[in-house]
Amino acid sequence: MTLLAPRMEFGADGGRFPAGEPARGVIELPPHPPVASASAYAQWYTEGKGTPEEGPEIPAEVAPAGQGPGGAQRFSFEVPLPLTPFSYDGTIVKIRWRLVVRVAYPGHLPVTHPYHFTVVAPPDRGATPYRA
Amino acid sequence: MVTHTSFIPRYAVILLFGVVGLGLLAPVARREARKASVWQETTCVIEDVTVSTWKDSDGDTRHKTTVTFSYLQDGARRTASEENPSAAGSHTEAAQKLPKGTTAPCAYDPDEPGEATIDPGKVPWGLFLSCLIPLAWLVFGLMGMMAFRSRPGFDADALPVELPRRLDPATALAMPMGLTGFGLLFGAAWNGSMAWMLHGAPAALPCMALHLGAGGYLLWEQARPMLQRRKLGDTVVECSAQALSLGETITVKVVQLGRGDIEELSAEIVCEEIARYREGTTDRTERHTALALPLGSLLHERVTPEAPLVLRGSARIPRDAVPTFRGAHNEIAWSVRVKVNVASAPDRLDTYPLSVQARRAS
Repeated sequence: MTLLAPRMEFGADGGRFPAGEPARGVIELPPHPPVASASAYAQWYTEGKGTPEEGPEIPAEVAPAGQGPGGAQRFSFEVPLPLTPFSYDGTIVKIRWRLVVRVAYPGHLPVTHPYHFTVVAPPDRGATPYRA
Repeated sequence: MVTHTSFIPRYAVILLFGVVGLGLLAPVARREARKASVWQETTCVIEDVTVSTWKDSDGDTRHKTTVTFSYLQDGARRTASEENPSAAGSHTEAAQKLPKGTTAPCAYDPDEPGEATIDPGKVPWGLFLSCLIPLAWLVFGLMGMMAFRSRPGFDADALPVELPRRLDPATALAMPMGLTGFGLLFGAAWNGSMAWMLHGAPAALPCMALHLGAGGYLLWEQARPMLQRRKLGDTVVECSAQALSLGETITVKVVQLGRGDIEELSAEIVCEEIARYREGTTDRTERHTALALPLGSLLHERVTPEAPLVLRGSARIPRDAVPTFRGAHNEIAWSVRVKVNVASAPDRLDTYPLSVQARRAS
């Protein structure tokens, strides 16, 4: 049996989420086989010249979200993002974010699928300039 | 109120160690030196040699040789005794080396009747060398105190925070190098004096020269950056806040103290990418300046202790910049970078770390 990768629909435009706010979206799986369980977590990791490292797994709340076109199995997710780090595409240091979806089917070991998204600066709420 | 970062307590402790060490060693060294120079040499008669034996708390057998001798001072015969004199050798050979009733060279203190030694005329080089260690502590303590002494009055328009300077690798190495230097000087004092006593000067001098040379070199290497910095004076960086948020404007004041002709004093806010990795068995660090925001510069200025050079500047951290990030091997580091070019001394490039946050803490 071939297990197709889930289709990811990030709630934000182009998968860009402000830091400090929740990242939301929908995971869509084929109608067959039926999913036993689905979970997800968000995580930052680094690329570039330095030794690669990754942040803690931030668990996402995953809930069934009905059926999609053709009977697709849909799950909504929401994960709270911390204020830092932002996604960063530097010259020797790059910081990336990914959402790792873990799907379990009856009789199979869980399979994981990473999806990349971008964490940007939070909306400007009026930084206070210094006045001497 | 400016929060000054002060190193004075650390140097005060080093100074205190130096004073206490010299206070303990110097009188002993002086007394031993007097023995060699002022005490009168004469011939004494060995009256008695006793060897006492006992076991210490560890069960080891210990011996003590006590030599009692008499000598003539101002026409009067006086008696003195000395424990474990080197003239007596080991406890097994003391009776043969100094048989009772024989004569031996000795010396007495003309100012202190009854003070005499059967080991006359030996200059206590080991003790003198031991004094070098607390003396070095004293000098470094004083130098440190002077380098970070109270600053002249430039605080009239002070900004709230004085930023600490990030230690550059050379400065970070100075302390272990200095400690190794102290260790080598101690080795010179200890091993040299032992070798001198047991085998004489020809055997001791090469060992002492080696230790003194290496120890002196390492101590000089520690002192040199401090002296270079001292030549011009310290650079103080104050700013409106050490922790900033994106979009915020930072005001920085750079004060150059000391005396000298400055070709250029410039400051900028920099955002650096720092990547650490291991190549073979070597840990490497690479840096890349991702963003530099100039704060201003001053050209061809003279600085005096009475009139420190002051550079003020402001910059706005861009809204779309990346905040400070500190991973184990990857880092985004913000700092104030100050460059001082002086005609008569090596250029200085100092870094004063800042923290840039995504959002101002409410």
